[in-house]
Amino acid sequence: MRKINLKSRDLASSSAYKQSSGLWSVIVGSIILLITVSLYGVVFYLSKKETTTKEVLIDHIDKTKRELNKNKDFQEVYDFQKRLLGLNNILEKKIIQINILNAISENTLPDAVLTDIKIGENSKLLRVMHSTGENDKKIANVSIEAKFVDLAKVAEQLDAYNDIDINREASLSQGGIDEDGKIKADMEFLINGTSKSSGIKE
Amino acid sequence: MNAKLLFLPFSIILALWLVISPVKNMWTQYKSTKNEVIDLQKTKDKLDRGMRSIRKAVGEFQGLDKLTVDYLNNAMPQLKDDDNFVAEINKNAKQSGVLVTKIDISENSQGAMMCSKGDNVGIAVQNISNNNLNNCSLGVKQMEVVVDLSGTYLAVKDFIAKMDSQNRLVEPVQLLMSEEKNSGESDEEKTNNQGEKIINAKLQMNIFYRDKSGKVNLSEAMDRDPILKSLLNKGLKKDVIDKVRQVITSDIFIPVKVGAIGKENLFAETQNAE
Repeated sequence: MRKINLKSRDLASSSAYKQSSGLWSVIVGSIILLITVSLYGVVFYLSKKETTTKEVLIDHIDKTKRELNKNKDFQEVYDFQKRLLGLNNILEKKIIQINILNAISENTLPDAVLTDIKIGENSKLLRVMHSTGENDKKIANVSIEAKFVDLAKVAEQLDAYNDIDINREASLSQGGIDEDGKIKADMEFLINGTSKSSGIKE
Repeated sequence: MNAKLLFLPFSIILALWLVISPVKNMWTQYKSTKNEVIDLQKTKDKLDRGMRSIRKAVGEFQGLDKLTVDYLNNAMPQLKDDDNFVAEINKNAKQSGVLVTKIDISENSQGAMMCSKGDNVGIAVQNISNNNLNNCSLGVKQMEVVVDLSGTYLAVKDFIAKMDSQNRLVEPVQLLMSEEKNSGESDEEKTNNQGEKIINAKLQMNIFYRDKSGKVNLSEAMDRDPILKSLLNKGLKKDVIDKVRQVITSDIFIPVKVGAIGKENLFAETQNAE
């Protein structure tokens, strides 16, 4: 119970109580401040750590980029790869003409006399091939003008050329009789391609 | 009031201020830095992987023998190299026994027009997934060559075989062969000394050379350059080396060397040394 002064009606203050409350206030306040400062310290430390990590990474990246851009060996190997890719593009389209001539030789009748051979691209037929998705094949259009003793030999020759590695048959584009009385015939076929044309004229 | 009693509210206010202002700002900054670090780490890992791959490719390249590298350089040289190409045709002609009557070499105007349209970059980007770079994007230039020659069929055939397998890679476009048709000549005149028929041939082909390319910023090109991507992802395209060696089977060609030079009277005819 607290004492009261009846004359002045003042409550008697207890210095002991005040002292105790003040102490608790300081303790709790200090703890709160300590926690807050500690929190600040932790966040500061983490932030500093991340900043250091960032600087290290930036430094490493810069060094790596410099080495990538200045190293002569790297430039040389890049250039070499470029050359290889260019050569690959050419080799994928390259036709070996001697193979075609050999194939023609192997399948030409002994008594056929060739007067003209043409080996090349046939752009019109190649457009057909592209539309059917066959444009990854190497295509050579072969046109042959030859002389035969008779029509039977012409037919036999057409049949023989079909044995070459072609997936569409050889055909006769034009025929006639020359000044020596021999049958002159123009034949066409595509190595891995096709050719279609009209019949014989005598 | 006792100052000690005021300490608690004061410390609460101070703590609140510290949390609301400096700590919060620092936390925001920390989070932002952390995200940057994550991105930088990804960049670092990508660059490190790239370095490892390119070092491996350099090792493979340096492991190639000089002869292989010379073959590849001869197949598609850095310059037009007309002189060596003409010399190689001459060598093939002499060995085969044909007579070369004409050589025409010209830049391929159609090819140049296609490349200058700017299609090369677009096509290169478009074809990344197909790994199919066209020659425009690879800095490959094309020249058209037409060679007229005559000789017996077997000699011409031998010449064609040599052209197919010579050092300078050629892309045949057309081959025309026909028997000699000069109406003024008799049948004997259309044959050689051994009585073999003389054939006229016209070879049309393309040859290639590399455009002089500048230095490439490899670090910037990693994400968009398909050549670099192919190098980093799959290494050196060594299967091409095998393909080249299968096609180019002739001996390594020794480049032309200039002999004696200097002539006072440019129009004077000189006697060939016997």
